Amino acid sequence: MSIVRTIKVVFSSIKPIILAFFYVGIFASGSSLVNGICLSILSGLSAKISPDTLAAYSVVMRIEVIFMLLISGIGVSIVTGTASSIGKKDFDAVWRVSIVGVLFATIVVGFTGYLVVTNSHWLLKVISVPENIQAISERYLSIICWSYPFMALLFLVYLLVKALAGLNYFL
Amino acid sequence: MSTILRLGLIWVFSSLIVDIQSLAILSAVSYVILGMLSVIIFRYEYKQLARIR
Repeated sequence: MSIVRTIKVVFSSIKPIILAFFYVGIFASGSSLVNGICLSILSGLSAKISPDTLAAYSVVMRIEVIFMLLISGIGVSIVTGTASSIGKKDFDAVWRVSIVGVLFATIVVGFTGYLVVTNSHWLLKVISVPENIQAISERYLSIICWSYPFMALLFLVYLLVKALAGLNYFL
Repeated sequence: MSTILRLGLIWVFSSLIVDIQSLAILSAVSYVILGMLSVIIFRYEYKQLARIR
């Protein structure tokens, strides 16, 4: 009887924490779901144009994944800095860390994207992409590169809002 | 209703995407719009945090 009571007491104390995890987790998993579906739809649409377009799109998508790794590397440190500032109740530092981090990462990703595009011919040759697909990849990269800073902005703010929204709920 | 709307959106996009250039433009424009939207959401969330403070 006492064990049941202990379990009830423990569960009642951890219930709000579990609910908060669900609250944060549902949105996090929902965004991954939407992202996956959108990517598969875009791949399908590019396959509809021609198989070469799909191949070129896939090559550039892998290059974009490298940018994502760069963004998440910077993003994780920004989220840690923001969360620790909230823990210290230093709300001005939250704003400072967020703005400086987001601007720094956006500039770094924008500059790296520019370098990738200006050297795309050499880069795609190194990874031995066939010539007809290389031409399509270069054309795609030359347009999409201008949106890379916005992509960095989007993913960093996504990480930050996850931290801020979750912490709002906990506070 | 929402399924019809989604299918309609996919149909619109598939009619817009005719070559690699249009695919790239659509992806770039979506990144730009979502980037702008995310900044608005961030400002809202920060204001919420400031209100709790």
